Amino acid sequence: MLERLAARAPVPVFVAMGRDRAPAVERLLQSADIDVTATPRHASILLVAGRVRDSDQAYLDRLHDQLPHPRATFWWGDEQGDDVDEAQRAASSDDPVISLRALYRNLISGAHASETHRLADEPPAPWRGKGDHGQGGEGMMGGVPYGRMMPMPPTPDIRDGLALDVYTTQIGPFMPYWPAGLVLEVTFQGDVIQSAEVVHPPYPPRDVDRVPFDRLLHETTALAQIERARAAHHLVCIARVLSLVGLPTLSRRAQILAVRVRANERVTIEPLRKAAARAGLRAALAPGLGRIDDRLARELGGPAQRAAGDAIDDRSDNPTYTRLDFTPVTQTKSDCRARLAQWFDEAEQALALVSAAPDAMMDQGALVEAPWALRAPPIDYRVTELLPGLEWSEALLVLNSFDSAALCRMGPLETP
Amino acid sequence: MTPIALTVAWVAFLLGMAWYIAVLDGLWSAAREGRSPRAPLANPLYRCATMLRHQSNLTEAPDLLNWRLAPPLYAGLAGTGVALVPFSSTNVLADLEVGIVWWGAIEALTVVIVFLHGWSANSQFGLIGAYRYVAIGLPVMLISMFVLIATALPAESLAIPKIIESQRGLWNVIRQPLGLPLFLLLGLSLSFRGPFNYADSADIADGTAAEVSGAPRLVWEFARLAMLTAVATVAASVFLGGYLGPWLPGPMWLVLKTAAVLLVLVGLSHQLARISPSRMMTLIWTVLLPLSFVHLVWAGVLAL
Repeated sequence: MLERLAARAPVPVFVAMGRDRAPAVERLLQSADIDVTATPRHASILLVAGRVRDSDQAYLDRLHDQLPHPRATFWWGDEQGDDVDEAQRAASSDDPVISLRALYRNLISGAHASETHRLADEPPAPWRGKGDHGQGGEGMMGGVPYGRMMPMPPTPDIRDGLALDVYTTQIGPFMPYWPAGLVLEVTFQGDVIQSAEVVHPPYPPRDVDRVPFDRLLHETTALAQIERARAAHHLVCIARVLSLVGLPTLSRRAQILAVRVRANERVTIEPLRKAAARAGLRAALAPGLGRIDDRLARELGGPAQRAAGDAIDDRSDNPTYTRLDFTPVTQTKSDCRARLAQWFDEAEQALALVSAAPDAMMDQGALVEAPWALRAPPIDYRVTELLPGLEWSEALLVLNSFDSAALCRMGPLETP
Repeated sequence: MTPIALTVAWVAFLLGMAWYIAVLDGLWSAAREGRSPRAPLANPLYRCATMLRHQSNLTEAPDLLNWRLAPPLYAGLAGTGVALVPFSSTNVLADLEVGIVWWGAIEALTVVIVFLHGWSANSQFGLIGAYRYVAIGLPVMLISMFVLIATALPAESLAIPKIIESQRGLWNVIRQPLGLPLFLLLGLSLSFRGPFNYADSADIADGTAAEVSGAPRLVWEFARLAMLTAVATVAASVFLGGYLGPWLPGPMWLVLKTAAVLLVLVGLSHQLARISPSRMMTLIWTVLLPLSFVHLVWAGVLAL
């Protein structure tokens, strides 16, 4: 009875975002049959989307072992070896929902055996707690807990001077709302970030919406495809921010819109934008949060630069666009609010261009602005410089106010 | 009703309302997402079954006693809150002369329990969720106490049945218009939903629930719904006259009013964005708390 009921639930899936031709994970969100969880503890299936760097295999194993039994791994991407069971993989162009559902049903019924631990079940460091529950050390305040020095900070907290315990931890590479592949060693006081160091750089930007831009290099391409890809890319970026400010349903709506835009459906973004505004989106993003200087904005290029007020856009010089009276939209403040407004404006403008010229074609090799930051070598400004002094939820908002290309440029180069 | 029948009604009320909230959540989400809901009535049961089918996991060196006790204690607190409320003029499970004070103790203990749940898993995001919850939960609790004391003034009693009887002429929601909106904030805070979900939010991977799976998670999620039910039941009683109303039997009125308050609470939790914890603290201490004090003074002057 319990198994029959459980088999009908949405499939709880935790997504580990890989690299290289990462599939469009937001496609999953369109299905009410899939429940993408925030933590591996709530999932039955670990979905690995794209290839995982060798150095991240240990992280993936640790993630895997956190899933409660019964559990299974599902590989979604083009580069999986032949040793993976057919029932547990799909090509990046495939829709995996039916396969996930079948795998989940078999897991619940016991037809598919639950995967065993990949790592030895032992703590990474010996635990030296004292007391019945390992709760403390000596003295009234716990004194010297766990045989280590009391971890009080050498300097006061950089927000309000209140000295709290310092703790350092690694975050990434598969944390939701976190740049895929990035591993940071973050030192917190309370929930305020004191410092951050890069352990592993982020994966190269996801290229789900890159296809029409690549095609344009080799053949004549429809303007509608280019602009739809831009709108879809921006909607996915918007969705992440909406989820972080506690509007998961609007976030899902943005993801669904992105899928529909890619599927050449006719959609309007304005209702989503109005709903987000009514929900208090502006209030949720503090004014000035994540403001960057003009030099960084210029170096990043793309929407981040236009959000800083620079009307730099390759489409301004393109005859197909000038015939449509194209002028770049810009903001002024260069903070999270401005970058979010920029995504909304550009996505709406992109769909307006599609409506205005549904049949316009772009010549092969035409120069067209991409939806993301410049894909150039890393700049000397590091992603870690954005974070100190920010409270954790603000830090995630700041990170997610940049596209993945911008975040890659602010990380160190990946060692080959 | 006999004590046994009353107890059965109390359990049925808690379970029924938890299911009702889960169904409302599903319907509201689907409407916001612009698609048709997926098996709206049965989906909560399917999800319960999934959680039960999951293994109850362990973390590295958790405080296991507190970690396992926190979910049932949280549910127990919610159940105690509902028990304070009379279903009719003669049927109340816990008829206390100091019901409002007891409810205040429930609020305070909830803050402790939620902190313990986040802390005892020995996990960084659980800990951040726990600290955030204490920072937000404490001042919201103060607001609710001011608001509840205001409802006790016209009744000249701290007993919930007497506060209900004092509304035979005029409901407190009209007499004290700020009371219900401020008390609803407490509902969102005690069950950490929507704009007040600082304990289990997405940025900290579900926070205090980040590490829990299996049956303890099911109890934890049920306790959140039960606590929202408790707040709505108390709100329906001290602001909307509880079981008072024409034509229908008293318990029916209580159920209807509770369901209506829950509809508003679910709506608020889906419709409002969350601001950062530090800005919310500022908002509570500098705007909402003074407002609740003004509200208390207003109620005091009216009661003179």
